[in-house]
Amino acid sequence: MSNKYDTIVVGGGHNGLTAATILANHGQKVLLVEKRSIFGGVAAGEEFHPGHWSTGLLQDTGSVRRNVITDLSLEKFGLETNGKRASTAILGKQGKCITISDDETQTAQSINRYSEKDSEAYLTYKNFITKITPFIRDIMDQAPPDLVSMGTGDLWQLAKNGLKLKRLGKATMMEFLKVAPMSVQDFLDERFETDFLKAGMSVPAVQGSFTSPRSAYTTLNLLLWECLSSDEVVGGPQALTSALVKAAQKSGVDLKSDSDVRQVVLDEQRKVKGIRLDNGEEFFANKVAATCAPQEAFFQLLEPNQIEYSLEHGIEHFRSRGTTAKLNLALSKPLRFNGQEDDAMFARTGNSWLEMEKAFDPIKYRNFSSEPILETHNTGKAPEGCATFSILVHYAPFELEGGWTDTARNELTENIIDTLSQYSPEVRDSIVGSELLTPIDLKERYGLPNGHIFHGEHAVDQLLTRPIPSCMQYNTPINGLYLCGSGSHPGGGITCLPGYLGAKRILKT
Amino acid sequence: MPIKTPFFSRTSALCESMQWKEWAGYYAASTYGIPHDAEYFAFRNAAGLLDITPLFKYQVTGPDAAKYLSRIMVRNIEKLKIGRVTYCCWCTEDGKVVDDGTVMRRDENEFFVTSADPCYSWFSRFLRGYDVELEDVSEKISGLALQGPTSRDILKRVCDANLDELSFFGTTKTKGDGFQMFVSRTGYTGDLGYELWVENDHAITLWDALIDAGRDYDIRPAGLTALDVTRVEAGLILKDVDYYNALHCLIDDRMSSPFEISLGWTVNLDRDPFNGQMALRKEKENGSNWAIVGLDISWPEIEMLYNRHGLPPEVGSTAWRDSIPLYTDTSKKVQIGYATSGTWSPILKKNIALATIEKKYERFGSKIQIEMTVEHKRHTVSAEICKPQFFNPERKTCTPKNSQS
Repeated sequence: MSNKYDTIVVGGGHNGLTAATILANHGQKVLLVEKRSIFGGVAAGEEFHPGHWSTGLLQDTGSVRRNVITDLSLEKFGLETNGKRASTAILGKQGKCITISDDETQTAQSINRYSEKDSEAYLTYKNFITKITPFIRDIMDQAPPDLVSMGTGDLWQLAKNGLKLKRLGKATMMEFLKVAPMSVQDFLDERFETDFLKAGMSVPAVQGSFTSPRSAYTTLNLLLWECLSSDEVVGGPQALTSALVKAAQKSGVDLKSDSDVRQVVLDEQRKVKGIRLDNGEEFFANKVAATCAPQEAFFQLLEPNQIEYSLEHGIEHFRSRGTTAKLNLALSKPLRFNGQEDDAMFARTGNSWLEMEKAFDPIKYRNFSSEPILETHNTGKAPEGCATFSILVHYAPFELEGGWTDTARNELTENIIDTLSQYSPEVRDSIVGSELLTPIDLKERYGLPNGHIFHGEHAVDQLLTRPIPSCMQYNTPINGLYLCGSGSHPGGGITCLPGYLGAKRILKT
Repeated sequence: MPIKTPFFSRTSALCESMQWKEWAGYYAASTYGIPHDAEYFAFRNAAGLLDITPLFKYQVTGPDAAKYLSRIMVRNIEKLKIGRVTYCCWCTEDGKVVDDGTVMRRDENEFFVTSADPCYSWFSRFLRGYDVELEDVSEKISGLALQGPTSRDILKRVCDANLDELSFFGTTKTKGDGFQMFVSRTGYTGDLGYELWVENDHAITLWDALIDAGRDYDIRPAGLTALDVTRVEAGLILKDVDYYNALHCLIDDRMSSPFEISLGWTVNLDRDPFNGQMALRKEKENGSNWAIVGLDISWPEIEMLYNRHGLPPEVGSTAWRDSIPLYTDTSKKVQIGYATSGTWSPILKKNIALATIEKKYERFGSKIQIEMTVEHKRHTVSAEICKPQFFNPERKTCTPKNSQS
């Protein structure tokens, strides 16, 4: 087997697999190297207790873009979507529950049990979301205009985006422009009155980042999530990964697991020459698509003198402060939180602004929440009669005061179980196994910088020019090095878009 | 308010002129007597003793020290041998000079760097990934420059270093009565001379020892005014006069590459990446815009010019540092550059200057016109372009041990 390739993709997560397959489908000879023994990255399901599987660190596959599925013919490789958004139970204390489903009328009815006003407000809210969705999807689906060099094409793209915004109609455009910079708390307060509904709805806006519902621009994150979210992949992230791996194999990508890249090798002109693995093995290509975090690509894979200071400074200040932990729970029996309906695969807590703010406060002082905000996912991968819940936990810091000792880990696990017990008292007694992944573990397992589940925060500046202006077009100041992971446009979460758009960018060179 | 260097009790007692300058936040004597001529002639004919404590000083230690400095400096510091000093500059990633100074390798993993501007913040930018410690020792270490033909003989009498073998740009650790110091055979006068680096506590002891031992060798404390004349004669450029720190430039036009300020010889391009490498490679390929040259300004023409106004010729007794326009010819239609500093050289009996001119005019021996104002009227006189080094005595680089053999 020759060790020469057109492109080497570093990292076998959903973005790496997508990028590799796109490139191979366009006739390139592609090598994909993955550090772990399994592919999928944050979308890899793992057995954490005999018979109990998570389907990935991230849980939501509603944002995988249709054009990616079509372009990679993922359906041919066994990918199924269920044709609708997954239902989510919004939980409140004292047994409260609202189910947000794909069916707006049904959702409105569910809300109506608590507030007639809110059920109407929900329809108005969804109406607004529906109106802006084509605009948002359009922006997310295309590589960003190059705001640095600003060529004619970039200006044209900006102008077109401006026109699309204008075409929303004056009222919708003005509303979008008004609300996008708002805090999600102010935004939802303007529309809804039921505390636990507002709190639960806001969770996607603060997920993963160093923000609370009171933080600026969190509304933008809610809108992005709402607009991108659509058909759920049956079987969750792991099912997506399985299809992606098959697609990659079919396209002729050389998939190499258990291969830790030690270095991206550059020639004397500082152009990419290939990679060197930890075991000393070398592979050659004049293009490397790194889907790891930008920090890892520049600081771990290159020598310090190979990157100029401005680049180093920019990447160093790409904010990645992990705030999320993961708890996988193996349960001896199926559970329902409050009145959660059977088909509600997801559930979210939050309860009230005050409680969310209280959950957020400790992380400012390097502590975790005593009553964290939870996003549970019933993975469905459990032995007969049992259940598996995979839970995203907000907020837990990367650098915990006093360190992530066993005591600290136990305390956080207890906090989570105590919180869950408020929605289903049977939780504690049903637990047969558990796995806690703190931000430190997330860094260790997935290479996430500071355990940040999106590689870098979805702050508005980091979304506009992601990760930094000189790298916002997937290429970097290092000739031949491309960034095609969640650190690039349009960011983290399971969309496959950074890999998809990054590969398209590589094909243009 | 400026602060005092550890030598102040001595320098202030001697500074009869009461003329002080502010140098990097310190009081520095401009001249000790009036005029400064005696100090100049001490540098050239005996030995001048100059307080150079205001220089910024950094200590770089650790297993990656050489690698780290090589990344910052335009010169490959990994090749610098123990006990050797090198003069070089350091650049931004665009290949524009930030500052120039000396790098001394005191041991395998121990370096000492001097600079004109504070550079800690700049140097510390590049620490990531290197096992190295950077310490600003500017306020811990005092410096003296002992420069001139008798400097070796004086120094021999105060310390145990083997000075007959210490070659030009060599450095060594040595001790004397009550002090320890590093001596390096470097300086800013272009003459035989040494720079002495001593801990503040030993500063006065060293000063007194030198003055005492130097009495028979006509040692004399010297100030910056005399130094300025010698450095122009030697063709040594000065930051903020002959070029500007790129980090302080408001406009790109003010920035200079090493090639443009006669420091191209310090650049080692073909090696591991360093700051500015890509840009400097490109410039080397495409050519530079500017060059620093020497000017030998025609004395007969100056005489004639003054004569036209009925005046005897005048030259300033000190070096000047104004920007003076240069033209191709007397019509003054085409400005080709500007002189940045100059002086009457007492030892060469010449009117000399350092100038920045467009690269295409850098032809040694060719004549250009330099503006000269006499009696409030602007004229020009011709000047010959030459290498920017006017005075370069054999004793500067000569080592007794070697010349005997």
